[in-house]
Amino acid sequence: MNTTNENIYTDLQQAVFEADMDLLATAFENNPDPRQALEALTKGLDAVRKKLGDYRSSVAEFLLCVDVMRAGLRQIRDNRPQDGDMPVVVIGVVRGDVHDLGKNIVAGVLEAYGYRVVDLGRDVAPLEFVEAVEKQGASVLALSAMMSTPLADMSRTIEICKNRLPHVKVLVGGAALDQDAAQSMGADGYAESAVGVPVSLKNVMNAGKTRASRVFVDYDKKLRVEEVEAASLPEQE
Amino acid sequence: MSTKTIFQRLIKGQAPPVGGIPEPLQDVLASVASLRGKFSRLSSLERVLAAVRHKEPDRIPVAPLVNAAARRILGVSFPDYSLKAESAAEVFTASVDFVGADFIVLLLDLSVEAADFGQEMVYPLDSTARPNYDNPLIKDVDGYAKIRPVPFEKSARMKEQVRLCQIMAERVGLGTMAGGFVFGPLGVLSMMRGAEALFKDCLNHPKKVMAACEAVTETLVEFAQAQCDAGMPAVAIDTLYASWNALPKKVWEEIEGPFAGQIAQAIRDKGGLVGVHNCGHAPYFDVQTKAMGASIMSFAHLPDDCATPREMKEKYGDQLTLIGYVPTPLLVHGTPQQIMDECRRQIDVLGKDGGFILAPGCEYPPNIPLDSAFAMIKAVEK
Repeated sequence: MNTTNENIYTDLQQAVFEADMDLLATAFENNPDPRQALEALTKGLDAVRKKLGDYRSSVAEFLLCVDVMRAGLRQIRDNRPQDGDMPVVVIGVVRGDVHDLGKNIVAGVLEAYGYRVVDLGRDVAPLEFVEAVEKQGASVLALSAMMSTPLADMSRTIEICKNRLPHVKVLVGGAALDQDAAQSMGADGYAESAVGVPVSLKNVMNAGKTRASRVFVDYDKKLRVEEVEAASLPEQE
Repeated sequence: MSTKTIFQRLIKGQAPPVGGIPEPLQDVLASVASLRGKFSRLSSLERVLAAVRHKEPDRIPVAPLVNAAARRILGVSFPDYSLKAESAAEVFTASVDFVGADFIVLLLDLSVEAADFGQEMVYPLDSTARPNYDNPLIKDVDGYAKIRPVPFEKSARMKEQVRLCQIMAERVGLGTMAGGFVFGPLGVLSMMRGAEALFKDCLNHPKKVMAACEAVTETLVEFAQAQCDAGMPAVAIDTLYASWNALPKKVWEEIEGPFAGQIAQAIRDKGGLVGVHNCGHAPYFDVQTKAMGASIMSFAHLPDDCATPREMKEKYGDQLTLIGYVPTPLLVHGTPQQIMDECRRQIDVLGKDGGFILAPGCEYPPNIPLDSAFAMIKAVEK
């Protein structure tokens, strides 16, 4: 463990990278500056994500690092910018599916990168998603499905959201999806894994005017998509 | 495994325990089938056995893995399919008769074993049976020590699955090849603990997890052998967590590897062929093959040590029969033409010299139309 002030931040970075809860606790005993601490923790998670993306680390190891990151965030929460200043992401697993490992990882990563994450859990109905987005004033709705069975409900959720809240961006992910599928369902973006989710989300939020889609499930063509011009979107901050 | 068993099965018109036939003789039979296949149409069983011995059959065998999806042909409910062997047998029979398949895997869902260990289950009307994740049997790390082997005779779901194997072995006879299925010990534990918690426990409390693996494996050995006795010439072991999106390779090797090896040996002792199913990302073909001595690998993604399908074929094509790997999203969202194009691309790269069975990377999605399965069937026709 480092003892000098400057090295507290190295320790925090290292604590996340090595999933070392003890090192994290010790570093926080030295009362680090919250902003610098957040920066250090984020650097640690960036390094872990890179390792995961390069197949030098597994999801199990990544989960432990995310736990340390979240513990660090809790420590500095009081001194972070108010939640109201951060973009709000409503996230959940679509109705008909209860596999929430991927969703939990993505929620943890987004929280770590400064988003206020409202996690609705698993097996969430379409209207429940959209009402939560409205209530929370969220700018992004993130939907997860690991199975193919809930895809009809995912399409329905996107459809309702796009009709009621056309300015809200929808990001989807999960084993039953890919980029093309996400697009055909009318989503604004697709996150292949937790490694790339911060970038995917940033791209989605920075994207210009999008098109809304009405998605139908029918027997012959499976997903029939009718594109309609979206209402004018508010300027992105 | 005795020669007597092989003859008894053949006399009954059922597939013999192929692994019990000496390998040189298997090769002769496969070569004869391959030669015959140049002039006439092979049976599904011949086709698969030729492919498994790395001989080119008359065409690439196909296994669309239309399992629960075939419920809708007959209007069988999900709970009936999950819980009643006769209903499930009707469904699998319909999948062969209506869609077609050279090879079927009698997988119902991934909770069969966990349910018999006492995990509370949910049987939705319109989706796959699953554990009640709000009430996991293993609530904390100390819960692993409470797991005790379940004698097969006292099981419920496992017994039904074995009955399904028996019914299907009689029905498919020497036509389509049918295989059994066992979820690996870590898979079973994840159904009773939750995957996220299990992953962390594997890293933080490996010995506690291994103690439970030992108890679960005792049951799985019995379960796998009962499927062989029921007439399955092959049984697949699902070692899902031997992949990048689960455990580190070394951790998997230490925790589940030896137990998966025991199950594989138990299948071989009964003359069964050992298959491995792993639909995780970047699966570890190398350590799974080493631990289980498997000769068949069903997969959804390229292994961690191969960058292209061609590299995979070069590296593993001699030792493994590759089963895969049509992507699930393509089956769900693709057009029949897109699916056929992808199938033919895979056949071009992986089909040379046998050792390849075209299949989805995982079970055919249960709630989508069957036209993607028909596209797979059409793709293998010459």
